[in-house]
Amino acid sequence: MRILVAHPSPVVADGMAATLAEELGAQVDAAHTEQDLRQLVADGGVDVTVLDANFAGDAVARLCHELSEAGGRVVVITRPGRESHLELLASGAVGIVAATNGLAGLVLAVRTVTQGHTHVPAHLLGAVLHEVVVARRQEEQPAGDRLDSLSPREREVLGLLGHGADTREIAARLVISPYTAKTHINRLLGKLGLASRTEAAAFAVSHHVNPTLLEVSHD
Amino acid sequence: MTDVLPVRPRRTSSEPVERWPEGAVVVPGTPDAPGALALNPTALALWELCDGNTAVTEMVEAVCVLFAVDPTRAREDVETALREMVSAGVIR
Repeated sequence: MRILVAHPSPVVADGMAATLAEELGAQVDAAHTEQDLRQLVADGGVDVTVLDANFAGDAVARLCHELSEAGGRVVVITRPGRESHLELLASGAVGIVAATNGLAGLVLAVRTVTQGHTHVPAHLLGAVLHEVVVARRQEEQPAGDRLDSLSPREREVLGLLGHGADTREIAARLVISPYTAKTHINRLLGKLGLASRTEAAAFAVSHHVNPTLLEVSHD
Repeated sequence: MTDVLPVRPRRTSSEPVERWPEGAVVVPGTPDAPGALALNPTALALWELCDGNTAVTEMVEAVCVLFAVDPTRAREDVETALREMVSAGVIR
């Protein structure tokens, strides 16, 4: 079995790699940059990639999708309140580990996904199932009703997403922190029952949701 | 088990009395009900979903989506777990 560990800190990545190699008897390589990761994936034969959410910043869902498309199973290490677990699972992740679960939680998650199962920690499972229930209810609601459920700020953020703005640009345009922008994005995704920013952008375009406060430009 | 399963079950207490990494113990919120019930992670998640608004069919659909399991099997497993909770008095 071959495992990749992607973490921005070499010390942490190497520590996780050593633990996984010892506990699972696997060949484990560590990547500290996206370039390293892409090279290791290109070498082929990857069974599982452990991806720390901090490794890819805002692009964790996209990277998750790419890695799962490349054929391996993806386990994502998340922080409380930072990522939408449903978005990660919809992007191809089959395992979620909270950073607070420690190395024992990571080993359990990797072991579970290599057995062909989805892994969500016990303390997150209820919340994730609730996210699924809410998303499915919203899928069945007319789009107009779903749009009405957004706050004015969330509607503004949706309009900016539809114009191709990323988190940093949204934060700058609305004079808020990137963390707050990300919170707005996660909330609107939940309310609209969408799995990713890409889906949100497509929704904004198809429903003619435009930013009302500012023009978006890419200069 | 012959307990009738409510369409939208509701917990009889708000929080588990004890949690550990692989589950929790919940107790009935009514004094005349049986004792404590130990729940595995999936059963605990279902118990948490029992808010009186979420239908059993929605729970089954969510389990199918999340774990990519067969709907018939998911329905059986969810209903078995919920019936056990009804019997123990931790949902109604």
